[in-house]
Amino acid sequence: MPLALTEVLETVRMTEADAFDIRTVTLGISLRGCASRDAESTRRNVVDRVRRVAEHHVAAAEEVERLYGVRIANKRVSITPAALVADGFSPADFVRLAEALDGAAAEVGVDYLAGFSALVEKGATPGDAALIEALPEALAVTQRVCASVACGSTAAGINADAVLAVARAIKGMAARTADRDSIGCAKFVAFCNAVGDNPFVAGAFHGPSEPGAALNVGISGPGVVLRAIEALGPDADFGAVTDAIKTMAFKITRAGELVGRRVAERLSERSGSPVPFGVVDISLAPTPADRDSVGDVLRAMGLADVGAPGTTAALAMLNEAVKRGGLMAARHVGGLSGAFMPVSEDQAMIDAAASGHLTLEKLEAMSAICSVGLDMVAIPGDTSPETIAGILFDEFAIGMINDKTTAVRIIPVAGKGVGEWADYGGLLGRAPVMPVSNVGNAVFARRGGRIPAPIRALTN
Amino acid sequence: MPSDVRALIDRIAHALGPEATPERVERVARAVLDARAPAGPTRAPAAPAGRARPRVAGPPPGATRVVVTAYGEDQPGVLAAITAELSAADANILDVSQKVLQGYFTVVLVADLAAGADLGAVRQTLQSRGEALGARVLLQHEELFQAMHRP
Repeated sequence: MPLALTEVLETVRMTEADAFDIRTVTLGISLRGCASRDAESTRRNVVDRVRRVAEHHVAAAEEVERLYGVRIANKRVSITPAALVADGFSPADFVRLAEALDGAAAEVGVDYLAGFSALVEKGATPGDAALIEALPEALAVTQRVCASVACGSTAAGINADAVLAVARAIKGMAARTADRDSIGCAKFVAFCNAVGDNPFVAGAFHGPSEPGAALNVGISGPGVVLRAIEALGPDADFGAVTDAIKTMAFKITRAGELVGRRVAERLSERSGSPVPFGVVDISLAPTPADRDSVGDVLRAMGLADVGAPGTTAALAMLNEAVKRGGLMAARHVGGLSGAFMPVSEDQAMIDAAASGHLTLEKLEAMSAICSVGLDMVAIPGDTSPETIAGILFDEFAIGMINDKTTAVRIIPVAGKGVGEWADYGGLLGRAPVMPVSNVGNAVFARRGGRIPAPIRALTN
Repeated sequence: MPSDVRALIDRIAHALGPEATPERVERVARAVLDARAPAGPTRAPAAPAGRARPRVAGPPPGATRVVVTAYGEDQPGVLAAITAELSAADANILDVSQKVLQGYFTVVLVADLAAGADLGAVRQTLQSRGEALGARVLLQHEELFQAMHRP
């Protein structure tokens, strides 16, 4: 059936007026086999592997961008969690590895390289501990490297020792990059129920069960959903709103799948070795750009601002509707596939946080039902490691009990307090410093050990 | 000659400017008229009355099917300029739709670019011609639209 004029124009309007783009094509690269007898040769093997597999990634993505006239905002690489291949490394070795990865990322032209990571849900090896210790320096001396630590899961419970170590590392990252509004923290995510096929940074890594390489794609498109809801007007009921979101999610996921598959094909052709297409992550990633805001979508549903009573329900509905449409559209959906609410990267969220309508506690409630977590939240620089650990514990408990991913990317902005701003520019945007409860929790945060896995983990 | 055909020829001649030879104008006009004909694909025989419009077959081997969209304030000559450039690039125009609403026009063409055609160069030419006439012109692989609207 020939295309109708209205169909063509709808797609054109999405890319021209509604900021629809593909947020990222992320090439996952396995580093298995790179471990060697010493840190120097392991580092060399890792860098060689990244260079070889990712050499044509950006060119392949740009070719597809031109062919379809759809922008791919970021081209990224994710790697096997570095601690898995560099277990004998000292913290200084890990910093050198991060620098070498940064160089390789720049050489192949990707925006970010993620997977400077450790999976310590149940316990840490000496290498995991060394990587965590290296984080402040590694993220200060690199531009493109992103890191994450998985601190818990539904199956394993929460590694409380790791949570406190990570909280201290976050403080270290903030201090080490104090001259840049503590930007080191913006490149680090702590997880519960981390996933190995997430294409989004900072939390991407190429999981241990992934193939040698895989191309995963993350879609964007809050503006497209926003227009669909606006077109309904204030009298449409929730069923109609769901249908409108679902229909749009289907279309943008189809576009994401097409782009991802074609990039994988072209990359395979150019590199001479097959790179399979992995998953579409159907998270609606916002940017600070006009009409590219998840917060605006919530407002279009009828809230005066993000944070108003009803916000959690609105977000739940949005998330569910996106999944309904996206699941039908893609062969394999994966990654995080939940609504992103990065405070600094979404203009409506920035405004709501600045006006006090949106609080940390409301964000936590929102993360309980669907959103991936506390993302790009700026807090006062003098927040204690124990308080940060408490925030991590709360988020991870939500993830563990509900068998979902929760993530924390929080920035105790060195030298700044409530009412001041952290400004990063670009996709990272800017965020007002939000107030944090300072009711004491030090004894709890320092108890250590492991919070046992919940009963729901015993499903066999 | 119907007046709309005469107007079309005038617009094509105007758009081609000094490059307008009678043969070239006729070639472009035929491409547009064929594409507008209800039978669908260019040079396809007319569909019997009462039958649904036939499905547009896939592009010939090696060819790339593209959707060209132009929009902007209504200006004479945009459709003619686009079809002239596509014709010059040996593209086979399969479908044309145009709408003018409140002083703004939108043109959508579906065309097959011949095997080996430089898609980037064709896009660049179309964009510069469009820009000169105050129109934004996009050229995108048709597969994107099929994926989104014809799953």
